[in-house]
Amino acid sequence: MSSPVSYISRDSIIHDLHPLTKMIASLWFLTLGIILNKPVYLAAILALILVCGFAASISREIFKSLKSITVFAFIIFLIQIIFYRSGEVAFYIIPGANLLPATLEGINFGISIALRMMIILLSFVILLSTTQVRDMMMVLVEKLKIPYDYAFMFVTALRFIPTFLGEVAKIQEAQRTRGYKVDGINPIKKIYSYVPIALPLVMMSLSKGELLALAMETRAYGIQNRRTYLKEWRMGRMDLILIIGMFLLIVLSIRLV
Amino acid sequence: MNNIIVAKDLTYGYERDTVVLKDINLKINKGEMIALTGKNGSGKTTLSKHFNGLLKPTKGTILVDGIDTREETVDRIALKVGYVFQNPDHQIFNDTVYKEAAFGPENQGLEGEELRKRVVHALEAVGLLEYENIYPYSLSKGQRQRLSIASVIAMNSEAIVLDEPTTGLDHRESLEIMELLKELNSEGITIIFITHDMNLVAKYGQRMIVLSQGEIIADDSPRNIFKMKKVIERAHLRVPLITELAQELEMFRDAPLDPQEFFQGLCEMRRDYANVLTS
Ligand SMILES: Nc1ncnc2c1ncn2[C@@H]1O[C@H](COP(=O)(O)OP(=O)(O)OP(=O)(O)O)[C@@H](O)[C@H]1O
Ligand SMILES: [Mg+2]
Repeated sequence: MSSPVSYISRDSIIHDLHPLTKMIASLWFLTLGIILNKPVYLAAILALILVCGFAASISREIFKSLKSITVFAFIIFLIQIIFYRSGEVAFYIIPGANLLPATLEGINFGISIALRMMIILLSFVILLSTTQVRDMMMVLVEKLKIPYDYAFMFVTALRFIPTFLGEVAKIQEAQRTRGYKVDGINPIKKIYSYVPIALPLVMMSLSKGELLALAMETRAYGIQNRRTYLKEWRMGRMDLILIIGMFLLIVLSIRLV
Repeated sequence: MNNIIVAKDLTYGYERDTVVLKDINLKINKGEMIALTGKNGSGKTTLSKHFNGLLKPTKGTILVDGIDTREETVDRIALKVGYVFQNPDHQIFNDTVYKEAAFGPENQGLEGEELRKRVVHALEAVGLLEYENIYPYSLSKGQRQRLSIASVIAMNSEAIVLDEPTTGLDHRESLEIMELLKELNSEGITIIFITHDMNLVAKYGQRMIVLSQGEIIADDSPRNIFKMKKVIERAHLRVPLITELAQELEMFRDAPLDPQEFFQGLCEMRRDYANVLTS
């Protein structure tokens, strides 16, 4: 079972960066995506992200997720121009009857929102496909001083998402062969009709959780406070240059707004 | 219509470029009891999911009781072919054993006295009637497996497919399940069971199908297949020890499948020997 975004092992400068640098970079892209609003700037940021994907030599995978993200962004764009009412009318979506006017401002706004979506999603796709979860956890614990138990809980939850999706598929299959169908319109009935899927899932998750806890304890989880890591990361020169660069660019872009 | 399942050049892959099943041609008659075997990853589960339309062939066709599975939904085909999954916990969700077994027939629109009769019959068949008001998760693994079989029996399907129904069960529980299947088969229900246990195949399989890398490499009685050294080797199987011993001894006309046959064979040999001495 592969999840939509998972770590892709490659040899690249992006993979070699300190996980903290990449986590800062994701937040940086997120911040820029929120504070900038001119489509030109946003497009430039998006281009920068694509360059990162290329530098990480995962352009093929990025292109794949770009396809679905674009569809999603386009739908958001359409919704924006349909509901944006003020400003000069550029054209009518249904031309003959002069229905659903699209205004210039609406189009502008729609493009910005769509680009924002793409920036946020893609930057996280790149982060997750170039950084191993255990390295991010190391950063959370060692650099950001988050208690190990909480970091572990968070990361384990992430790790189990694909497993759960697999379980759901199996349960659905089992119930379908017993003539199970999700009931249509009535919302209460509809919620109730998910019980045959939800209950086995909860029961299986509980027993899985119990097993996991047991397996961890038998391998001495929590016996010592000081932890060591399989791979110790060190901030390199590249990391420092990038972090300073990002800082400067943020200051610059605040002046741009 | 005497065939419950007819597969013609069935090919299947989970992703576009992979082939998990290659040109499977197969006919299964009503009333047969078939063992489906082969090493891990050979495609047993994948093939068996075609028998009730859970998977549809990427090439070729499969007819279930004359119906092309691509033209019907799973819940309709499930009326013909029931499926017991390897892990019973993937389906149990009711708070009593009775309700759990009633879920399938309820979905088929049964109610009242008729529903009750069906469910009671199914629970009786698997020996769980006395537990009908019990919470299913408090049953043992073998009992839960039998409950999931009951919930399929209650749907009155003509055939039942079981994916490794005895894995993880002790000897006694395994035999109870197999005896139950034999009983159902004698009532006319077609049984197709997947297993790695050659002793069960020898004892309960009237016909044995061996898969290797998505192809059927043998389809015959267990007795005949156990003689095919190459097939056994390729499919990572091991014939029952008593059969292997007899084959090594090279004294039997037909290698026995169980200790009883072995003993009979020895008795015959002794009689022949005595006849030779007296004459
Ligand atoms: N959901 C799936 N997606 C992709 N590939 C799959 C999936 N399920 C099975 N496969 C692959 O298909 C092949 C056949 O698998 P299948 O489960 O049918 O084998 P099997 O004979 O039942 O094995 P086992 O004895 O381990 O149960 C394997 O190579 C497996 O990796
Ligand atoms: Mg299998």
